[in-house]
Amino acid sequence: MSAFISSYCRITNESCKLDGKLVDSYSVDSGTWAKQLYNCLDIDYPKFHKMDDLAKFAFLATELASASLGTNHEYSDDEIGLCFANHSSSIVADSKFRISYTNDEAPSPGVFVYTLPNILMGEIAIRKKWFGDNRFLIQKEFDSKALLTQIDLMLESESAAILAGWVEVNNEGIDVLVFLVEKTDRSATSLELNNEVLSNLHQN
Amino acid sequence: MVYIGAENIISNVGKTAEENFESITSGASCVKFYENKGFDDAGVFLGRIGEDQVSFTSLLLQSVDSALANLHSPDLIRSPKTLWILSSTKGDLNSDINDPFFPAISDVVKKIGLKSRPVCLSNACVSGVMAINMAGQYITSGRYDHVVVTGCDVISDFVTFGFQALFAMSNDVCRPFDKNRKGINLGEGAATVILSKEKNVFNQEPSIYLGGSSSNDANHISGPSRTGEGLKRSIEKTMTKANISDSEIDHILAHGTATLYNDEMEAIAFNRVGLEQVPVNSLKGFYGHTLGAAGVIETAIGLQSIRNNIMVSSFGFEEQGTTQEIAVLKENKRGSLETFLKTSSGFGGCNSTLIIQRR
Repeated sequence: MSAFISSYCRITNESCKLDGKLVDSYSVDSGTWAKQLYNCLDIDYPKFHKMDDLAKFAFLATELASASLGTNHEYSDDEIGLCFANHSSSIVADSKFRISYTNDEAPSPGVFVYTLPNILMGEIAIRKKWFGDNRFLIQKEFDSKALLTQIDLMLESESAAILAGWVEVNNEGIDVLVFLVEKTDRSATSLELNNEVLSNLHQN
Repeated sequence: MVYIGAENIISNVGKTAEENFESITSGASCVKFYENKGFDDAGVFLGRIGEDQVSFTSLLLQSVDSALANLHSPDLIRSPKTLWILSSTKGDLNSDINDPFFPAISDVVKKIGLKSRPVCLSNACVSGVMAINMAGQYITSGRYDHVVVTGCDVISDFVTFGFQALFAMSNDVCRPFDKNRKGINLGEGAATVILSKEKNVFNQEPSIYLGGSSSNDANHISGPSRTGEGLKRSIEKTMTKANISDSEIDHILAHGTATLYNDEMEAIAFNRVGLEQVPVNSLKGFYGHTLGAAGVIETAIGLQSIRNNIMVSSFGFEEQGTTQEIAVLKENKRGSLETFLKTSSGFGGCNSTLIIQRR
């Protein structure tokens, strides 16, 4: 099925880019990278502060990559699907939770609820009021072909658009690519969705 | 047409789907009290397979092999047109918290001789139903001819302590939908079902997979929706895809975790879609909540229910405990069963459902 990437957001340890253009660079002086980006995007969403880092970066990338949709888009509230993948599942929250109960303290319920990778899709669904299809895959490494197959399966099924991404947030750093897939090339900057394009977006 | 069968379940009460079905229809539960398996050596009720820590990889292998033995040719797993999907929430967390999925997956892939690249789905408690739905999509779209779906999760301190921290654990064998329900029991197990475009690959008569879908509540990351919105939407989408009306559904295998809010949410959703009269059960009283395995175990029991014309009782249920009534099965019910609905809901606000029919 032919489909297009309307917009994409890339976040690494050093920078955050939207459609290839720099949004912000990490500055050591400004606290955490997630908080710095949150401030930079000028969002007012108190729930953000409760999220773990995996959900935070997925959330921030989604805010950017879905901005081009605007509020008056053509999709009904269950036509936009979510499809995310990573390798290390919810490793940052997992480590934190394990520490909470091995250090002779009580296990933390607030950390435990983030020890599932699909929680980030719940956060996005709540923020966007999207009731559509969701799926979270664990992959050996960034696998553009496998991601494309899932996106195709979802577009052939009930979703008219997909917010998809690779969201690896582990104890070493951040490797996030979130992109909006639609069936038409709405904007002049739309990219055709294929394996080569997706691999390039991830490499750059 | 997508056929589904060759089901296997590995649990404390059986190593095949048949053994499991026989055990639970005679009222055997996996859930027992363990004196010091909880946080701070607290006693907890768990549905463990045995006293010792069970190996995630061995469970997977045992379940896949046992399901493949229900095919005319177990070698089908080596066909390039065969896919394997794993459904699990925490994988082999007990072996390596830093890499809980791939060492086990690679091991299994090598041992079963899988030629295609495996798919691993980790979508909280709906993973199992979602994996079967994904398998259906792989077949109807022509990408694969046969898909083997295995759900597996094992008990860990990690998950046990987590649910204790949420105050979600029952201090007794759990009682889904009952007035006196007090929360969940955690369980462990593995189950496998095989979907195929060919009916003649199965040793025993397969059923027909009619379709399925998922919806998010868009409401709360760990609390069930008060209106059952996501579950309602998923059931409606699934009925439309399967071309099945509410009067054609004979049986619901619900999620029924036995927490106050989850069961209440499900009862609301079933009423909203007009399925409140349909005989419904939750199998969590038998198995505990097996997380990523639950959807596959419960679908496999649904397939056994069709084969045996028995709807299984909802273990632990005595008195209606939801504000809206639903038809919870107090006892096993014999009689012709043509079509069942399997539902599941989980953290992250996800809901997945599917419909299967006798061939």
